[in-house]
Amino acid sequence: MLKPTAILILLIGVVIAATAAMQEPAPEQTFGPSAPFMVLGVLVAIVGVALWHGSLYQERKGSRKTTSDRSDPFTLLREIKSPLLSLQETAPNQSTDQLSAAVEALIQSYVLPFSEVRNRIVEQLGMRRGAEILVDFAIVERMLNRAWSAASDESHSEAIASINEAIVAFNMVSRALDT
Amino acid sequence: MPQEQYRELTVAAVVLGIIQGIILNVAFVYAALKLGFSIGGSTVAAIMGYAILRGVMRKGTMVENNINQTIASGMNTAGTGIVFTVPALFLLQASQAAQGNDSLQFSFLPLAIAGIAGAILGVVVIIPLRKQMIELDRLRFPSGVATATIIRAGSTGLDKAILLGVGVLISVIWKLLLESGWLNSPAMVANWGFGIQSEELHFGFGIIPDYCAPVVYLSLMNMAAGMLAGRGGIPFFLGGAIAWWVISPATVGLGWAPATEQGIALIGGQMLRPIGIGVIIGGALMGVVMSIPAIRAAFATLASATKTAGVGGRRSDEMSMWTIAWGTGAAILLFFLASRMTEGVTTGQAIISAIVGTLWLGLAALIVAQATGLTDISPMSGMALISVTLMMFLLNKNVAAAMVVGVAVCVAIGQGADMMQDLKTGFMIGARPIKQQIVQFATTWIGAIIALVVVYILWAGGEGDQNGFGPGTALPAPQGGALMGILEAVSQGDVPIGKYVAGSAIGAVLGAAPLSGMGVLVGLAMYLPFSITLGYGLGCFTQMIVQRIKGSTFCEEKLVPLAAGLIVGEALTGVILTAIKIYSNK
Repeated sequence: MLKPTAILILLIGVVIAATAAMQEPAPEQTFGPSAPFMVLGVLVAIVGVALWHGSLYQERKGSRKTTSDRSDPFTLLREIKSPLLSLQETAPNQSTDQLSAAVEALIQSYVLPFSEVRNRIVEQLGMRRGAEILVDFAIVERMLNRAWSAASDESHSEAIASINEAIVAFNMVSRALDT
Repeated sequence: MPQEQYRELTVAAVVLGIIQGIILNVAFVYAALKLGFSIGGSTVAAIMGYAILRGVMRKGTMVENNINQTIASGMNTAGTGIVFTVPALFLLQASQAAQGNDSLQFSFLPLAIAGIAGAILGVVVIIPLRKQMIELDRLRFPSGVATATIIRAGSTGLDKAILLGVGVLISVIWKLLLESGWLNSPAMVANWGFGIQSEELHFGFGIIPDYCAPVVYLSLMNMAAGMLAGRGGIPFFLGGAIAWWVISPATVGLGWAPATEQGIALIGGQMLRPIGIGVIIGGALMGVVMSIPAIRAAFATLASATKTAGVGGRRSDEMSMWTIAWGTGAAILLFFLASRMTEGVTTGQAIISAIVGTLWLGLAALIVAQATGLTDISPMSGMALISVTLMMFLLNKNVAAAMVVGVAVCVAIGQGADMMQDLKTGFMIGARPIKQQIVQFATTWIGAIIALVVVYILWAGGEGDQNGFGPGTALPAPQGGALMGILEAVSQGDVPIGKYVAGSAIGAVLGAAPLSGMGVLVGLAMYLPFSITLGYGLGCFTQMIVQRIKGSTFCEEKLVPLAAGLIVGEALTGVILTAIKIYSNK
């Protein structure tokens, strides 16, 4: 209820201010006699904008929720290793449709949840080391995306090559975590 | 598909991208001169890319289509930077000439060189920040995500391309019909208050007073733009409705303007238009203020990027720093040349212009890319206004010289934001960033030149080989009008300052509202004839109704490509007809 009221107040303020501004000033004057109404209209509009922001703040406060139960990025990095290696092993024997579905499942199960909580890597390991891990993992993600695209385009060899590149990048991530 | 190299940076993708870029550039320059805002070309380019590469050539891939849309959208965006700035020069020159003042002189070449410099600089300043913005900060770049979704949807691309083609055909036929005058019925309009005249449908019926503007512009492009915007375009319609259904009647009722033809011209030209210019200015500047979180984040990004520079270098998929350095040097030199070639600019001023302009350009491109990444809204109008005003003071109020910088900054801003959107798309589909960077660097400067040519053509299409756009014409060029207002205020002082200030205050408040860009949209609507805003609003309501009945998937699959086709068809027809008219006059 607050939001529609706020918008209405804003519109009323704009109408008052703009209408008042329409009056032509006298020669050598900058503003017409209705200038006080113009100021009033602007003030009313400011109230409307403030109430609008307030209504959104109330909405956001009431709907805060966690987006992922898998909140530890380090756990996710450990968990992704096995399915990634398994994908590399089975990829040559899978059709492009199967490959595309397998890559999509990997991305949805591990990669996207990791990106939601990736900031904790930097918080725990510091900017330089954390950024190195995140940049390398971004390459993993990009290569998996490329594998999906290639499989969807029925380019089996490119899909496998992209998975292999993803593994290489993941090995960099593992090494960076271990040091 | 047979075992062959995975197609990505191919001749087909580059050629298609350039062709589409030219077509979209021409069409959207025309549309922007009419509506005052730009329309993104990535969606159309991605749809058509699939139709040609996969449907016709039978071998397109997703990453190949990504190269196509990178080029096309980059060229289109370069045009946006031109159309937001250069028309102001034409309008100002015509306005001064009408007062017997021929002092403002400008020429094509410096503006073209400035556009090329801006296109190159906009790409090179943003490339080093790709890693930070996309891989580390993971900025949303919603348009980039939307384009990736279209590319990934692939298999429905051909259906969408057909719908796009149908839209083009319909709007070409309708535009030709309107231009022919066969539908005109001036006698009906005069006697009954209903009928078609000058491409507008009058529906007053003698009941609705003329100061309520009971006219709708019969432009399918206009309505289609509303269809693409949907609910998001309602502030634009609301601005026009408030202006002509509330403020105008109130003005007449209060006795501030008579209810005559002259009174209505007074309301539109001397009252609403300057207030609208003020609202645009205030809204645009407030847009920059509201981007302060993005500005802070941009500086943080810069700081982080310097710390993480070299991270991941062992497998860098970026253009080399040497290429970026050479590109930057070449662009600064072009910037200097463009300034030096402008009348009244000394070598020293050209050096200042190049250095200050480049620094400001880099900062502005960074801010806009960050803002676009966070919100998908680009405070380009505000940045252009600030750029030109800043340079007016630095260059002794030399309008042409200030505009050279303004052109470069505006083009660069657009390129920076567009590059990031495209790189986001590329990340989501697994493209190699270096390939996107190479093609954007190599081709999108063409867009600046194409857009300049179109602006020159459309200007020459008016009576006496000029005034082809501007207030009172079919192409009102509202952004140009707003910029002209600033230029006049700074250089001459002879402007309705009271209305500009009042409008700016209103625009600033609207710009602070939680709906991004509200100030600029409402200002544009107050500036433009209501016949245009009403047509746009009808398009918005159409989309909202269709979405309610058929759902959002239907709108994405069917309405979006059809609307895009309607826009492209009419705009291209308009430009071609103007070119034919100029040629036949000569």
